[in-house]
Amino acid sequence: MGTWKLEDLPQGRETVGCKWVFDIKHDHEGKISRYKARLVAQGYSQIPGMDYFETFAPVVRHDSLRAMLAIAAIQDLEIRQLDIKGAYLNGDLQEEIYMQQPEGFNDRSGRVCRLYKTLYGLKQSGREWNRKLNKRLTELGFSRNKVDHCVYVRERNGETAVITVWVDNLLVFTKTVEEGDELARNLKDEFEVNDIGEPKMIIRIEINRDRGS
Amino acid sequence: MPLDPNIILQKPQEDETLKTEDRLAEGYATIIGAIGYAAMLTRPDIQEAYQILSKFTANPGAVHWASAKRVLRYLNGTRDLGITYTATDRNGILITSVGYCDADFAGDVDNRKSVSGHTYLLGGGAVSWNSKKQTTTALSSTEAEYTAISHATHQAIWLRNLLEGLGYTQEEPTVLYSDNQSAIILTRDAQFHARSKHFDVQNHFVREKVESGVVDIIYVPTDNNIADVFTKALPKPKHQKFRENLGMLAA
Repeated sequence: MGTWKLEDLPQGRETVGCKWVFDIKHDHEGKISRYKARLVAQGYSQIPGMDYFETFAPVVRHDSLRAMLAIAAIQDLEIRQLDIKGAYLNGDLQEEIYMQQPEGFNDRSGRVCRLYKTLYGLKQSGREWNRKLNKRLTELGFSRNKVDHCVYVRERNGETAVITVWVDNLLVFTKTVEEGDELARNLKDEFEVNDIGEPKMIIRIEINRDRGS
Repeated sequence: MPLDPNIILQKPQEDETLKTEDRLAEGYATIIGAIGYAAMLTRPDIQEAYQILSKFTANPGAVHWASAKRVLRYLNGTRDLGITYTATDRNGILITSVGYCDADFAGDVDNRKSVSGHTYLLGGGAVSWNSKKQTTTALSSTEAEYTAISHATHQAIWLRNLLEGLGYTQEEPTVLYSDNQSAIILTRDAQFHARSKHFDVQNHFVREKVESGVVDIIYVPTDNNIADVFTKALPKPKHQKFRENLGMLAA
């Protein structure tokens, strides 16, 4: 994946540490659905102005999200939820950062990991991921809403598609199922996507839909 | 109801403060945080309770603890409530939002500041709401309401921009309801100079927005002003009525 390359640590450089975080995921009935392990960088030792610069990343405003849900009800739009797996690992690291080799995968050569992707835990990861996603959505013809940078709109052949972004959680609003399918495919081309379909839950808001006929 | 309208919440007295240290002030902050999260996402009906109770996070007294727990019991008893958005008219392609705003003059008993509240509805449900202590001390209910209109107008502009950006042209002004005639008159003309000359000048931007057709401030009787629920604790019938007006139905 090109997340890092093993290199000798240049003179005068420090490494950041890393650790494994383990979690047990439960489904909505409380049954164990997944054992999850994630390697996180210990970004707290990063030096501002050297190891990172900007850290801000936008998320969709609640007002925008609710407005879109209301519009979906009024206009009977299709809604599709897509989660990007390991989203942050898609971000390209701009700065030169070295990390200790992770526990259990240390080749004892004394080399360190020169990072090329934004691992979870780095200060700039959220921002770089957002930048990457923004680039992809822009390529697909979407543009950012002026008053909410996590609402994307595309006007094509008179059909409007809207995507709201909450970090790695996307809601896709389209007039037709086909356009939603196409967008899901477009995103799967670049990212690993968990295609959830009709949303049941987003940022801990439960969604029930009654579309009648 | 989330808050008892008969209880006035103010800073705890000196002697009571000592006891609260044993009461784990941190636990209070956690509860308030949770209440705030629910209020922010899908529970506008407890927004005002959150606004009031969060002021005492640093120093909660017995009455604040009791009130916070009351909110939790209220939530537990109404856990099936959700905001419902419906297609009132499938053929109508107009996507326009309607707003309500209100103020509670000198609602904060500790410093006599007023509270602003507003909400915007779309598809029969609330999409946007807020309840906020005003930063300047209003000298009259008219001033408090005028400030509330100003706050609500900020939000109207944002919402219009959002909807415009989504491709829904906002040709007509956004209707914003207020229950204060004098404040409404002041948004149109600079009348009552003697009683309004001290108003915070930034609030006069409302006049500009009324004139340029961004908002249209319309009178609604207090009993029908949904935004009342964002400015004070209401008795049960009113609370339930406004809750329903916000589109909150059993899901």
